Amino acid sequence: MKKEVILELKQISKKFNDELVFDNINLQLKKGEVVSIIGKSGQGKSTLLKCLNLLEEIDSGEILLNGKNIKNLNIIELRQSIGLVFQDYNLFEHLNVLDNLTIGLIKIKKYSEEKSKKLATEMLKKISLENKKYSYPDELSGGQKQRVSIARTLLMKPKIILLDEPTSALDEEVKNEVLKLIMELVKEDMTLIIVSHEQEFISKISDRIFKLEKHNLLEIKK
Amino acid sequence: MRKNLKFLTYFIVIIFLLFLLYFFRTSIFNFLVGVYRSFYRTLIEEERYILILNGLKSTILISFFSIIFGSIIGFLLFLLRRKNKLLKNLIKIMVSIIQGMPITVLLLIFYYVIFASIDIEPMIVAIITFSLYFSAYISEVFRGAYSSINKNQIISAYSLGFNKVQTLKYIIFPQLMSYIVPIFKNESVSLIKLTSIAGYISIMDLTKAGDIIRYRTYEAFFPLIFIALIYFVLCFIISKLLDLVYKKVNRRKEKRI
Repeated sequence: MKKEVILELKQISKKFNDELVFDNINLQLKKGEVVSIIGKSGQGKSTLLKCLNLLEEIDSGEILLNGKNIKNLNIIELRQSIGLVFQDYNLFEHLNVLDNLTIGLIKIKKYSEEKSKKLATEMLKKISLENKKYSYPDELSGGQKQRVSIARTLLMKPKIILLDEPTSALDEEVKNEVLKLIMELVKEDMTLIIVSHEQEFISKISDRIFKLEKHNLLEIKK
Repeated sequence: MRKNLKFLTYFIVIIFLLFLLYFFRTSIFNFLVGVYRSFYRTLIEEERYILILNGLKSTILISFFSIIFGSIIGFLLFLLRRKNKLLKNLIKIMVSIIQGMPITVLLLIFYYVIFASIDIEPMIVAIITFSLYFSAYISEVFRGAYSSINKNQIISAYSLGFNKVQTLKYIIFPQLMSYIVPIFKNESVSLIKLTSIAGYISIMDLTKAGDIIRYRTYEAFFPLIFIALIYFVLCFIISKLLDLVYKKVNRRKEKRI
């Protein structure tokens, strides 16, 4: 069965103050596919992910989500369709874990508080952090924060999840709990783009691996 | 046995106190009469309580409007400061001038220099001075609060689909408030006490009212203690009110208790 293309990058380029970040990048992402991007720091991997989420604008080329240019989509809906998980978690510091998970559902998706809490609690069970429901971000370990952050993105029911170096701020011991969660996403046929330095892990889960080098995206053999 | 001992001690103490009361009965009586007379002279005679009430009214008016306008101007200063470099430097200079000057001197400058040739109510001058003074401090509070917020949360909120207004309302503002309110409380209480210098420009505020009564009765204790008490109650009320606000904005604290 041939899988449909969900996301397509067509010759996209991006400059920061005349400095080229990436140039003429093409990529097709099929539904359920896991694509990894590696490359040295400062090569624009994070910027590339931000462009897909319209947190940054591209200078030329087009990005198509289900065949539609994302510039013409409702930005709020686009951001719900393409979830982004950050390297340093970026949880909302004034909210406890449960509220961090429900605020998007209540305010953006306009779910009722009851329904949101139910969904969030189920999600917390899944990432085995149910006992941390009422903890605040500064009371969690890095690994726990990242799991909550992934859960927060997952709850918005995105079609694609972008993971921006999800484990690079974590030490070895807690890294595995996050990798395990990502592994589960892969098993659930989630469409993922991962920027990571975890060579061994990504070669295990990825369908394709690319390297962002000298402003270009090159596919490398696994 | 132990219980009896305790009882005995109480008994002895009470007997001793009664003895003292009997022994000093005339002095105590005279003291109470003195207090009553002072009270009468300070407040009742020539309807002096009206002076106090008018003074209290002025103090409350100056404090209230200065805190309100000062907060608004302070917030505007904070916003303008972020606009461009020229404004930023101008405001910086203004803030450091205000902060580096005794408020009394500032008030006198406004009254005798800046508004000297204009026919203007001293009350208005006081409100303008205290508002500016307050705004200088409050703009710094806003700045401190804003810089204490981890800005990555903004991008994170955008990536979840929050728009600018929602991000401000649900993510940034609550965090700003829980930082600002405790400092705001201290500054407000301190401003209320600072308004006691309004008498310098012939405003009949609470302190001035106390002064006038002191001149008339040649008695310092009662008028001073009495207005001190009023200031204390005023500050206490503001402080408790803002504590309530803090509890509202800082959900975290509320849940912990």
